[in-house]
Amino acid sequence: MMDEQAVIYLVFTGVVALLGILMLNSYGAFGIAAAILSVLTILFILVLNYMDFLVFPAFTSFLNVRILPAKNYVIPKSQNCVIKEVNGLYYATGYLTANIYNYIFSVEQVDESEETKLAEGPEKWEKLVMNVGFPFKFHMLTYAEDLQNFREELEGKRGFLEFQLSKETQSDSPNQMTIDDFNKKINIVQARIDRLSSGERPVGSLMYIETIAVGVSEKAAMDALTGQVNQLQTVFNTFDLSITRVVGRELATLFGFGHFVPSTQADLEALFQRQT
Amino acid sequence: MLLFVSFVGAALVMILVSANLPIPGFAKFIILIVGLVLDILAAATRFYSNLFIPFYKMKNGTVVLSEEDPFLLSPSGEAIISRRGESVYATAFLKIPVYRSATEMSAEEKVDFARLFSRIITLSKTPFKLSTQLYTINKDDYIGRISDKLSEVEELYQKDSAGKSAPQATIDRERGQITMWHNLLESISKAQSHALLNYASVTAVGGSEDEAISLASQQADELSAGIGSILGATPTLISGQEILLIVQPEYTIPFSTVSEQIRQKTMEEGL
Repeated sequence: MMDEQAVIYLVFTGVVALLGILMLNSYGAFGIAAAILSVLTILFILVLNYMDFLVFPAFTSFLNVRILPAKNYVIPKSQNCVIKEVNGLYYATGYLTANIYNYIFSVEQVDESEETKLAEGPEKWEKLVMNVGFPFKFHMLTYAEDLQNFREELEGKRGFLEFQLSKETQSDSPNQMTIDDFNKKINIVQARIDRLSSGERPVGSLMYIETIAVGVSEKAAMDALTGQVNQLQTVFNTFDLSITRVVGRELATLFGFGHFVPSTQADLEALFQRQT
Repeated sequence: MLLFVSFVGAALVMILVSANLPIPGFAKFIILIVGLVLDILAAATRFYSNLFIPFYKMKNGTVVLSEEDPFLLSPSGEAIISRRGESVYATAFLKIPVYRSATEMSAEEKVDFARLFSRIITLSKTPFKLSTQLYTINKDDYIGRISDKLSEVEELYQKDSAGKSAPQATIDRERGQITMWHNLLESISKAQSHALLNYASVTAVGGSEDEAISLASQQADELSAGIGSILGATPTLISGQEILLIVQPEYTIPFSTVSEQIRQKTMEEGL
């Protein structure tokens, strides 16, 4: 979903680039080139908005740029880890996103086998820890959301879905698949409202995995880290996790989280939006 | 946002000027390119506004975001301090003891245990971080502790064996203990050793270090009480060297163990 800020940035920059196409006649022989450049600019802005994790590392690799987030720490041009050198040894720290949807109240699906998954969770975790032969950390940044606001949001969402459902059922040619889809969504929202009524509290959370590898050179440490990251991706498959290696600008943010926890709900919410 | 408005405004002016100025087409085209570059920079301010000035000041391909230590240990050793602008952030860490293993639980107990975990997550309105860390045990310390234990038992054994007052059963038990510590000492030198640490961290902001530390300790106490009531075991405040184990990579993988790992790897590659 696109937030308001993204819409503002896309619309304004898009309109400015569009002017280049609208006024192509003013550039004479260069008109077509101006139009092509403007289209490329719009495409680049879209890529920057949705896939900046590809653009930024490509940019730093091309310019051979390293970033120093703090004293004694370096983010290499590949933008996939933070390196620290201590006594001639290099420690590379990498990050992976790891959202366990089953443990988050904001889950978007009603899972009938939740009890089974809860029962399996602790044992799976212990087996996982026993099989990982290198250091790693699993972090969960969390806060309790305002119950009243959360409930009102859900009730509003349910009302809107019910309105859409009644519109579809009263239409001249109601589509059964669409009706089923709306019913399913209403059930999901209702299940979440029921969970609130049973005393559960809504939680906002951000989960990530951190792992550290060591080597006698930057390259050795980074290669070892890549191996560890791949292994973690494999072993964490036993959970319902969405795992992606963090590359680019979010690396510095997660590095900062090692030393402080965002202290307000607003700060954390802003980061959730950035992560998605 | 100000940076975005400035870049978008500049891009708009450049493009309008390029289209309307009575200059040759080529010159217009060049101004258009400048305008489009400014437009891209405007789009980049959404995520990268904090990097614009460091990139501008870049030297030898190195962009410096900060030249300060990422944190400082507080004088009391009970929190770490980091500065962001005028604000001081103090972060305190709580060790969460977990004494139960899933292998010893029934299916029902496992569900209950997972639900306890969910309750901890919903504990505080203030954001906090719940972490589990698998780290490499510093073998030097470990070996030292086992050697001490071994020496202690050996001394006791010699004393009891020399004197004739100790019962035979005690002497046999001490001999058994000596064998146990010997075996342990041998096995830890061969295998890699890891340990698991569960902890929670909270951060408080203050105008001064003292204020931030005091607020962080207060929040940590509140969280500790909550976690304690749920798990039935009281979390303890992590301090001093133990904090470094959490926040410094070289403490997570100690130097002595690393040297051993590298030596083993080199031998394996050699074979």
